[in-house]
Amino acid sequence: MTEKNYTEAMTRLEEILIQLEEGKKSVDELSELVKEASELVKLCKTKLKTTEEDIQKAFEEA
Amino acid sequence: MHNARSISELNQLIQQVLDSELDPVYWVIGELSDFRLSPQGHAYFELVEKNGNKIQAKIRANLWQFTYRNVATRFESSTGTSLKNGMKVLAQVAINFHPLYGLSVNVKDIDPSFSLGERARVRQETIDRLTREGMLQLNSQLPIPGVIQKIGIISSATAAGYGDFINQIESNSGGYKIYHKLFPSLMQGNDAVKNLIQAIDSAEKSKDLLGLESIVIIRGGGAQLDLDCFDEYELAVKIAKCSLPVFTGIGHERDDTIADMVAHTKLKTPTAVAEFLLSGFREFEERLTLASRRMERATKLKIHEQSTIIQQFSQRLQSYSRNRLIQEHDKLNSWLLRINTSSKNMLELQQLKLENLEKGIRQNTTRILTKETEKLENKSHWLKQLDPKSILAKGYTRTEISGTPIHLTKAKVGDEMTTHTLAEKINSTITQIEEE
Repeated sequence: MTEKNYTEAMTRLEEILIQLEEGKKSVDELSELVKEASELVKLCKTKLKTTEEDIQKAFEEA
Repeated sequence: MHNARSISELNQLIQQVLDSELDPVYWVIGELSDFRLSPQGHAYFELVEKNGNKIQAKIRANLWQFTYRNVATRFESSTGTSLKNGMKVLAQVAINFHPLYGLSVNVKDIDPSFSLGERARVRQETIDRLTREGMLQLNSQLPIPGVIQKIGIISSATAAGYGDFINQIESNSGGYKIYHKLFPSLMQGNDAVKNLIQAIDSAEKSKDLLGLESIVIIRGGGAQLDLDCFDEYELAVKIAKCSLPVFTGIGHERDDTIADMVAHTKLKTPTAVAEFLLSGFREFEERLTLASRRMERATKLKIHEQSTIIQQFSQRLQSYSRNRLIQEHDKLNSWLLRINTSSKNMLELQQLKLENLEKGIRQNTTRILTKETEKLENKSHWLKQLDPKSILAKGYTRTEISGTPIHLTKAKVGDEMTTHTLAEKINSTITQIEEE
């Protein structure tokens, strides 16, 4: 499975949130969802950080 | 028999009558015809009276050597021309009857003033006729090129004027080249007019082949005599109607000839014609030089102007480019700033969104877990409450028949029951059942 890009990750996070808000998921599924969400959050944070660094670098060069 | 005489006697009689009845001399007007000079220097001719072209009367005339020399010299110096056929003269004559040669006149004198007047009258008639026929300005209306380089020369190859003319055009200081072709012609005498007309015809026929631009008629140097052919009507018409401009250099001191009058341009001498042609070259060269200088000046000026304009353009372009670069740089900086800000904002927004999502996920997870825990606790509580021990602890007991709770079975008398208390198991047998 290829790594998601930021937009895809955010979309997935939103889906997870909606699913959690709806409260239809069992406790057994909850763990998996939270684990997935945590991975996605980590991914998005990394991407944001990388982007910020890129921007910083780009402006330093400009 | 008749009183017959011999011819000699008759002639003698005639001689006597003539001598007695006639004056010694008479002034008569007649036209010279069949004029010829003998080797001895005598002139023989006929004096003719004409009505139009028709001869009405004529008489033989003799001009003996001595008289001829005097008369001819005086005539030539007065009129500028020699005695010749077709000339009307006022002559003083003595009647002469010779037994052998018959009747003739001996010319004693010729009055040049009559011939001058006569010639002037004829000349004026010719001019008037040419004027009426619109011939005088005809040839002069032809355009001439600024530089005339190809000419047809009508002259006598042996004429001094021709030699001078050729010498002048060929050894000019400017090194100008004039192509010339001679169309030879007699330039004086009885056949001159016919000859000149033929020469003009020949030149016109060669015009296209040789690219001739003009015809020059030159006759120069030497005696100022026998110019009458240049006053002839036929020659004047030929010159006037010539398709090429005709320049004359007939070389004379007296008034213009009629040929001069009908020519495009009249010049005094062949040398003057050569000078006129060469002056065209010189003027053209001067104009060229002048034009060249003007062009050079104008070009330099134009180049200078254009250089200035280009320099101005260059400066404006540089200035504009600098301004533009500054503008673009500013714009870029502003964009960079905006991009920076926007990207930061976006990142922050995303960060917030992510945090919210994370928070939402946490909260919901917690909520779910809490809810589930509560449910679990409730269940546990209920379970605890439902635990038989806790009921038994309150003093309640549980009775079963054959392992089935008593309220779930039909008790009968005699059935054995097991009663559970918190601490004990009591077996009993049903002895009586009463309805409640």
